[in-house]
Amino acid sequence: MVRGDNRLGQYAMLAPLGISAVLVVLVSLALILALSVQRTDPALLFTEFSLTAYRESVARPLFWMVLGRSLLISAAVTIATLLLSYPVAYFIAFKAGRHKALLLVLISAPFFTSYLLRIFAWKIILGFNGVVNSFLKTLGLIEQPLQFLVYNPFSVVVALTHAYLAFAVLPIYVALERIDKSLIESASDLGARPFANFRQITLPLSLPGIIAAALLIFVPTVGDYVTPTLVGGPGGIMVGNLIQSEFGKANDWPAGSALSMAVIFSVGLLLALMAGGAKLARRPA
Amino acid sequence: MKVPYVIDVVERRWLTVYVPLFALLLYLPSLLILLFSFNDGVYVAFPLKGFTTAWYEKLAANDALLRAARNSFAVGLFAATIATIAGTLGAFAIVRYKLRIAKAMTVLANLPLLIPAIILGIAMLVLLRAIGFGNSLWAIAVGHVVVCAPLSLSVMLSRFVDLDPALEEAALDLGANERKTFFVITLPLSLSAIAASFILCFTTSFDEFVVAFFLSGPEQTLPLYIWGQLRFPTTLPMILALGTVVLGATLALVVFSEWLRRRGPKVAMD
Amino acid sequence: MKWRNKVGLMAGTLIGSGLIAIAAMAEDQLNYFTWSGYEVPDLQKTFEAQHPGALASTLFGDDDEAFTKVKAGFKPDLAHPCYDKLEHWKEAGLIEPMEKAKIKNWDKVFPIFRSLPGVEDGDKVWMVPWDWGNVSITYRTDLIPNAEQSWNLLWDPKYKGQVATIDSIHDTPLVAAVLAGVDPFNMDDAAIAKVKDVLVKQRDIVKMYTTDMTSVEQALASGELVAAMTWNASAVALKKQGVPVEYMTPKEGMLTWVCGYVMIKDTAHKDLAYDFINARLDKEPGQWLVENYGYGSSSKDSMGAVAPATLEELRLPADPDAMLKKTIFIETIHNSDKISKMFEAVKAGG
Repeated sequence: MVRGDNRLGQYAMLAPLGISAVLVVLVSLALILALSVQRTDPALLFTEFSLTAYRESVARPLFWMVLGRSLLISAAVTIATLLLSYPVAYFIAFKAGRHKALLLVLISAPFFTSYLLRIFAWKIILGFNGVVNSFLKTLGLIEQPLQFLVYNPFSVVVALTHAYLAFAVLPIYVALERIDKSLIESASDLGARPFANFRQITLPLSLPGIIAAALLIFVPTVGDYVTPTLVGGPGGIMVGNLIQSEFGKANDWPAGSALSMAVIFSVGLLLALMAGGAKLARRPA
Repeated sequence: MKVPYVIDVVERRWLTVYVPLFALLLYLPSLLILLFSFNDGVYVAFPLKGFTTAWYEKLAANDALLRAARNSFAVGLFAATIATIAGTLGAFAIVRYKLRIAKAMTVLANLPLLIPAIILGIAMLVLLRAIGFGNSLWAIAVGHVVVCAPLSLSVMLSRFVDLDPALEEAALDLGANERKTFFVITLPLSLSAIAASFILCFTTSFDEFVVAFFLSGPEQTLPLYIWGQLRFPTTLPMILALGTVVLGATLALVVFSEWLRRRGPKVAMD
Repeated sequence: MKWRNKVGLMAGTLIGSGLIAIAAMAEDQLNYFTWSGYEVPDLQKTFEAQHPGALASTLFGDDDEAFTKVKAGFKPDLAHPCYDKLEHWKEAGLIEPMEKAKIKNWDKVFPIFRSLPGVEDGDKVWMVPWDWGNVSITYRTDLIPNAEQSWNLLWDPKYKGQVATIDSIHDTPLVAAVLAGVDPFNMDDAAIAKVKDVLVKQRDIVKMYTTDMTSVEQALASGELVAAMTWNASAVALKKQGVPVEYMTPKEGMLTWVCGYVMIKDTAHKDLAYDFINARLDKEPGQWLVENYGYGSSSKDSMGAVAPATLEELRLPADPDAMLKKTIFIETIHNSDKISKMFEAVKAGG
């Protein structure tokens, strides 16, 4: 075969990705690993080897509770986003015909207004005199405005879900678009009922897109601190807030680094376990 | 190619209800932003106080805000383009060529997603300073390429995994070299994925705030500007006006290109 | 590849690069790292006249963020942190002292600020105080008629879920310390534990810990909040919009903060820096600050230039000396790192 001879050229194709992502990643990891085993000192960054940071910051129940809360919130966001977006991606891939590109851009357009502005909008929607409350009041369903809609984990989930909708639609659409329609057609000709057809043909074939979307949503949301700061309230603090305060207010970089290592390790482990589990599930009976 | 499904009718019915509801949810925050940008009051709260275009006038006069918007746009464009190129080339190499480091590469290239943004920001500041690069818009642009690369890689990987090599092999057998095959066969078939990658990267960069903070110099990006202005409640409506303008411009662009497309030659295209 | 696509690709990169290049900084500029809003042209008129185009400002929204960024390697020429953080900046070796002789308007600064511990050091000066202000409670007079004039309002179970407090270590924990009866600026472990109890009690009452005054003012305007810890400018702004609020004078005392200029170590633009500071200590910038942002100016001339009626409305005295005898001045907080961790833990639920 003609392929596969120009090794240099092939590696060269990996180069841009390698330089940008890999180099920076390696440096970042090396940096926080090194910092995390330092003794805290206000003046110096690198003093001496010490596991105090891990002992004091990672080995406390508070961290694991907040991490657990963050993972739950991210999971909720991921599931909600996927459920809400899949039908739309499906619609665009199969029903939109010539209007695909148009619809994709229309789906993405609201996300070109700044995220911070949209969070403010959510405060109006969920807030005291906001859209939801006014609506429910006019319908006569409530007397006093609902106070529990915002400044808690619920509003964090809502804001993040909305923010990541496009991030789910696009990858799922990419996967769905390439499904060979004749597969679905033949299944249908062979008598498959609509939902079974979907479940056994379309859904599995779109799995790579779903997984890609899930990763793109779940992983970054675990470490987010901007959303909890703006709409999280006291109960919505996530692990990103803890890390950020160690680097900023508490001026304890070793602690912040130790927490980051713990988060990276935990989420990485979680993903590896899920990937392993998926492999097991796929093994033929 | 229209395929007559049995499932068509069922799907059509509930999708016709669902998709508009989804669109409403999607646009609801934007509609409120639009609404309050014309509200004659500083505070974004009901009840509405009256109609005014004052915020738009103030926006037109606000140099700093407009510059921040322009900067975000520039950085987004740059980061999305470079990240998409890197992701496309990388994904293709990983999928098509049996390179030994492919697996390790994939994992490492996805790691920026996993690392908290504050760490990425600090690490990149340290790294860039070490090579003599200062805080500036360029630094932010480079930082955003790193942040967006995994996004592009994910999308392009899922695309190339599905791409039937038969077409490329046919071209190769017919005598085309690999480069030509890539540009003439592979890329055009992946246009929608490339577009998806570009849009995702641009959106991410446009809103990205933490890494931008650490790498920023005197030129701000829009999220940095807005975050800094939260201490000044009186500027919020002006920013809402900006958000509306951006959304309006995007929609106008979409309508315009749709109109162009309809008017174009009715011949089958690439 | 179709020529169209090639052109599109190149266009994207070129336009992006081009726009970035246009924005690139010129040489020989003074990089002033400061709060968003302090870089406006109105505050720079004299300096701009002396050195046109020489000012480049990098902005931040929070001086903890600022400290992190400089510690990570960002090198501006001047920075604008607040007094209680001065020791942190010194300890981390980020700043160098300035020559008193070169600050020609140094004597115009109110003595009370000049004599703060750690500011003056022989013939050198670590920080040039420039702006100051108060922290107290802004509350809705219609929703809380006859409010007790005390910080306890933010701990009152009657207003559960309707109260907000500032998310920073030099505000809420200090008030908690005062209410717990300990010295806020010299807390030992036992004292920190006491303060933690007080803060935990407040957690159930508070709707949000925040520095986002935009949201706080909105919430006070809509009635979502009935009381909040704010800076003095918020009460003025709300009154202007017709919201019935009052800025409390608590019996325990308001908090007072002061911020100013520090010179980053080994800066190449020392002369520009001194010119800038001197220009800022002139009468006009300080006056503009008071009239537009509602904060106090450290310059006698500036405060003197503001109309007494305006000062009255802003609840600022013409001479901070008198007021500061009755308020709690935010000075260096010892053990601040431990207190920060404690505060974060309380906020997170632990």
